[in-house]
Amino acid sequence: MAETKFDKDMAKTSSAEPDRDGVLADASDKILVWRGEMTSFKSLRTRALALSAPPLVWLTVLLAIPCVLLVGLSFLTRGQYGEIVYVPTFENIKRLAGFGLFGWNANFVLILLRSFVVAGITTILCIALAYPLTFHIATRPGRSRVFWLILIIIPFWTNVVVRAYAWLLILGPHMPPARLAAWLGLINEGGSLYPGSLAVYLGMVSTFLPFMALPLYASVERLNWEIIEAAKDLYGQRLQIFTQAILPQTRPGLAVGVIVTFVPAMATFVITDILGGAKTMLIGNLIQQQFAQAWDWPFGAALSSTLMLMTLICLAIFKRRQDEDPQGSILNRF
Amino acid sequence: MLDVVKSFGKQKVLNNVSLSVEPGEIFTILGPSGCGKTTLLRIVAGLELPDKGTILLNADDITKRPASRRPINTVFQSYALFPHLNVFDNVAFGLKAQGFADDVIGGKVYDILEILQMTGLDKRRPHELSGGQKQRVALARALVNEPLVLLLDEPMSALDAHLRTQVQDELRSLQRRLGTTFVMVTHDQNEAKMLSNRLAVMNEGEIVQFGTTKDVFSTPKNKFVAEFLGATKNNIIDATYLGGNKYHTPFCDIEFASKPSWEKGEILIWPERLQVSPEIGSDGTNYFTGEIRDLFYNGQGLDFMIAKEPGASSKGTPLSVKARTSSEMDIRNGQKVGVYFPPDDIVPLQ
Repeated sequence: MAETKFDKDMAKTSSAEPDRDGVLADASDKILVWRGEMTSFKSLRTRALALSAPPLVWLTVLLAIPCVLLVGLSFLTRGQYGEIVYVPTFENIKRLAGFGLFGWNANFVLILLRSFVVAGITTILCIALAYPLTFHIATRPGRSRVFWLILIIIPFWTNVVVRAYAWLLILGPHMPPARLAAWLGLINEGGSLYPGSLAVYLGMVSTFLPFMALPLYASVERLNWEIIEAAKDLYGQRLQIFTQAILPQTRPGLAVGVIVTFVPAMATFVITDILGGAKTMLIGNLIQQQFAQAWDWPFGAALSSTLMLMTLICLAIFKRRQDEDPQGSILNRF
Repeated sequence: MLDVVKSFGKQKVLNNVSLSVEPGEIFTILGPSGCGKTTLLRIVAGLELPDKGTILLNADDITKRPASRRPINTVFQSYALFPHLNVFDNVAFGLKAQGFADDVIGGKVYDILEILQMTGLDKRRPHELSGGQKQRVALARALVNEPLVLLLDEPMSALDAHLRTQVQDELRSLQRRLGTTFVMVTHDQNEAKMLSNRLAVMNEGEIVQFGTTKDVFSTPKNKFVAEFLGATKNNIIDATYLGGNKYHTPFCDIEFASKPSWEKGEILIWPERLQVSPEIGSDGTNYFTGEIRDLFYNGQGLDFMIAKEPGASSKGTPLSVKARTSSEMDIRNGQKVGVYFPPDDIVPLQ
């Protein structure tokens, strides 16, 4: 046995020591190079934990726990004076589905569907506007791109309520748009353009357009124009150029845009409340009413949970469609 | 067949460029980056509009016709394949857009894929293809439309060196087989040499020289063309007129086959044109003796410098000229050799 001290030391550091943490301990102590830094699994793990702990705690306390509470609340009973009574019930869900005190009534289901449609139309309108807008910006020279992007971002600095009231002023009875509409015979003389669908969509689109335009811009900016030119060179017409050359390239940005537009548009209540009046009650308004006016928290919670569930289902369908495309998208990283 | 007269507004990218391409030839526009060659190609493709000038295709003025209505197709530098479409759909794109029937499209696509040896890869997406395969798809996608002219923008630039020779051979035989006119743009003089029947050398938006590949490569018109085609500075030699057809150079007096138009200027001698021999004669017209330096084997033959004795130029480095011989020649560094300038191979530069 001509083992030197050096050999023994090497054996200690390089072979497993089963009496401690087994093979894992050995692997975690092993020195490795990670992104140019000499370190070990152990210290990387510690660092990852330290860095991810604060956001994890934050999300757990402020998002996960409230969500669980909200879902739980949906199955409790409202007391006589709006207090929560801890009696489990499916009454809220039944009511939501339309089985109320006075027989079946599709009211809530309709509101849910209408919210879906309104959010969907808003998203489609935003897409229709965002494409020309982002192409316009992306084809400007460097400096003026920044200018245009700032123009898009500026409305973010104004409160949604303030913006909604601004639309009330613009669409008011004595302003040019309403007068023009009256002159054309579309509304009564002296009438205003709100409340109604037009006002709601104007408010919605002006609110959500930046959410669509910014992610889409990120994609449009990186567009390979040679592919568009190839489509033209190969006799492509406008529609083909869009669907075959532009859409596939901008899909990642569009996907993010659709999510960040559609999801909040489903839940919005301020804009529809101010500009839509009672005629266009949406799920957002309904939820807000349950919590703030009707003092029916369990029913409000049931509505919220349903909305959340619907949104998650939409996202899941969306993600599956994205997964089918091996070109990949940002969503695949979720 | 193609007649282009062009001048450009902003920064004069192209300055009154005019050239014509014969049907069924491979024509190359050769030039350094930024010389306007790609712009010229894009104008022909219909992807850019000239400020002035006309493009004629078989006597039709197509200057203002959009790309989608020209019987001209392009192989883009990045290939620009549609990333979400498989090989078949990429190739079928142009035919579909032109409204061909499905069975016609199928037939044509499979035919061209067979010609390009891509059969069996038709279901692959571009990201599943190698660089060479992508290029074939780009070629197939353009050629399936049976264009009168095929434009190729730096077709080899994205390929590995070992693939280039192979692709060059294939391109040549493909062109012979289809008879399509190829117009290629490149900055690589080897590529131009290997592929083209005729070529135009461009610099700073102007055509410097225009002719058959053989003519341009053997007798470059001026220093720019000579250097661009690979001549080293050593082989571009100052010459002053002596009388008759004779000129004086630092190496020796030389006699041309016929007298150039100038009295003081530069001449070019290609390294492989110098006749080198181990037997040393006495210095005289078109002949000098020198010493071999920097000898190395370049893969085919021997490259070396010949320094003239006593060997000191004004710049301090020995006055020398580059020569190339077959590898059979038994020479070594430091050996004295005799060098002969054949009068027919001396190229006077403007």
